[in-house]
Amino acid sequence: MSTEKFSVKQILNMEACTRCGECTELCSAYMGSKDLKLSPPKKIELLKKRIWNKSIFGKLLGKKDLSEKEMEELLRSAYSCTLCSRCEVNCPINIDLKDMWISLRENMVSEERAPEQLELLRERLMKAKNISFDTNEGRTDWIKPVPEVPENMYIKKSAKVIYFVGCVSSFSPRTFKIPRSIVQILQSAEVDFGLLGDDEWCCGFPLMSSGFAKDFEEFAVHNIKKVNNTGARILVTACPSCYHMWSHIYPGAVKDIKMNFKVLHMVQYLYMLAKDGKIKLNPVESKVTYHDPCDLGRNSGIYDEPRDLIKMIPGVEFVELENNKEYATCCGGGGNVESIDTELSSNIASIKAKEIIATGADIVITACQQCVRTIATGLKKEKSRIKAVDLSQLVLDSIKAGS
Amino acid sequence: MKIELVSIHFWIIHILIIFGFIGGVFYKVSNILKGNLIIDNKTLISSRWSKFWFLIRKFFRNFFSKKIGLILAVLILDSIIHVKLFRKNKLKWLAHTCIFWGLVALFILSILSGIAVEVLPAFGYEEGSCGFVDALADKDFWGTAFLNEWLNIIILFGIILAFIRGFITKKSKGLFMFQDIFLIIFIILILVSGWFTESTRYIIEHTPRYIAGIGYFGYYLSRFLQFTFRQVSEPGWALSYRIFWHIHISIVWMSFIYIPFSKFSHVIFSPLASILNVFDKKKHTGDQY
Repeated sequence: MSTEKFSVKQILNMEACTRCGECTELCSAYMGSKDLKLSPPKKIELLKKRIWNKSIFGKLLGKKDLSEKEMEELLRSAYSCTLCSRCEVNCPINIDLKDMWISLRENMVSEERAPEQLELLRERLMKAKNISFDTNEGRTDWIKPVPEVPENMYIKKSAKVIYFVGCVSSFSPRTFKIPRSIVQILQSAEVDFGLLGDDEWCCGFPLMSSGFAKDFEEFAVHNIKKVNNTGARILVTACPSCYHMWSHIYPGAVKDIKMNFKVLHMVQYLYMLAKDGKIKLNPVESKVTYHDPCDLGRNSGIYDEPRDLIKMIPGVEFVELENNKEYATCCGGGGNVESIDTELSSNIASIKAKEIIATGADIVITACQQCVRTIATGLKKEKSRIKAVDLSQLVLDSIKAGS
Repeated sequence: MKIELVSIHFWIIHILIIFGFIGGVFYKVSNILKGNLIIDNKTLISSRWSKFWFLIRKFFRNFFSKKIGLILAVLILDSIIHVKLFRKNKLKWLAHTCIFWGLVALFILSILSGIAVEVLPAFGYEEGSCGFVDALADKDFWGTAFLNEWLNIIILFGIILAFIRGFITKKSKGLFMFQDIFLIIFIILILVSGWFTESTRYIIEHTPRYIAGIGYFGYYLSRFLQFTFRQVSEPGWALSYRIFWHIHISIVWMSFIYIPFSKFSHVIFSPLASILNVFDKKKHTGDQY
């Protein structure tokens, strides 16, 4: 293995890891498979073994690399990870494991071992600039049924707020309700907002998380330039992965272009609007629980705003999930696992669904279109009638309840 | 009868072992430095020496800055006390603390005793000049004997606890690797050979019970050995002592060389990793190590 894809810090972390197993207990891939081969310590041991085999001692013992069986094991575990970061929470020495798994995937890509599905995803993204099979011109098709949409469909040359919709909400009909709700909320709050339309490219998260690190920078540069051109002061997005890219990855990856705007997740923005009295929340009688999306909670540290916003809605009874905030379990929809190992993704979703059912809630709220999709499927599999909705949908229901 | 075992060959081997240990650490560090080091997301440092010196400079710049508080906090809370582990799993924390601190304290005690017995007299130290040094040099002094005895018991307790958690109750999800067996074997052999060395010394030095009783594990073992092997003569026990002492010290040496290649290397690398990880978590962007 070339170690060039791993940083000095990452190899130091591999040496520092004692395989104590605190991460295994929380690992989504392990929970969904009960296979220790997918656990973080096993991955680290295989990586260390690879480094050792390539070192002078390995060569003296006649080793060159991992055996083909071990290599397959490493590849499988690399792409079975949902990148949820839950493994990091209890690590006694705070290892940034998610970063390590992404570097591992980069390594697999550089050795041309990445799964075919992801190579296809890359091709599609590089060509169409979105994760669907459609061309990018259809990015705003979802908006058509929304009432009172102007002719320009909010694709403006300038706006105070840019709503970055994201690929899943733009192209997956199962999640169209989310951007539609958001637009209606922004309309009711009389926000001067705009959409980028077909100028909006994928945020690059699927590329970065699949190990195609170099390719995503082109997407970052394009998106930053387009938002800068609108003169917007705020960029909001309802997708936690897009939010994580904009707020945590873009500033480090694109040093030459300054972002002239603030990046907020939609829950933060809606909370601000509600707090400032720009949207009026009316009673909604429901018992709800909240699922922390991994990229919004653990990976970006946003835990309070969604909870505060839910509690601002009169009539709502809020119950926490057993595993919440940094301990929240993954929905199974992250890390492109859904396209690599459907069964594993479905098992993880089932664990989440059972936890939701145990709360006795009528609705599970989240702040991620992908989580809504995966949780809804998980709940259906568990034959539950609990509804999975995005927080924006609940807020819109609350606004509409007054009319 | 007092026996002196330390000789020139001891020191030669001792120095070779230290070189072996340093060589092992050097090899590991060299492997770590094969990783990439990018500064400000642009400049890639290619040579391992450049990376090493860059990191050393960076460490001292941070050490003598406002960040010293954070460095110390991480070192104390995450690497020494292991607060996170304590909050999460008290039994696991207890096992780790017993093994780690037991070994560290025993190691420090052995080093200090070695200095008191071998190094200081070479620099003209005379017995009776300092009570503390004399106590360290005298294995039968109640404090030294008590510490040696109890630290051994604490380590053994930690190993038994970890063993029960890992293999009997299966509560631990820790990954046990084949090479970990060597580490456990080394620790157990050090403890057992230490007790046998101590007990045979008690026999040949005819240590009275009121003194030897403090190191009771070794004392009762000496009584048992004397009772079981009544036919063994005084020179026979002296030979046994020499054999056990050499076995004991050889295992200590071997385990010392093995440290950089074993799970125990985390004693060196975990505190460094902890500090780097906490710094990185705080900023999210910038230099990547």
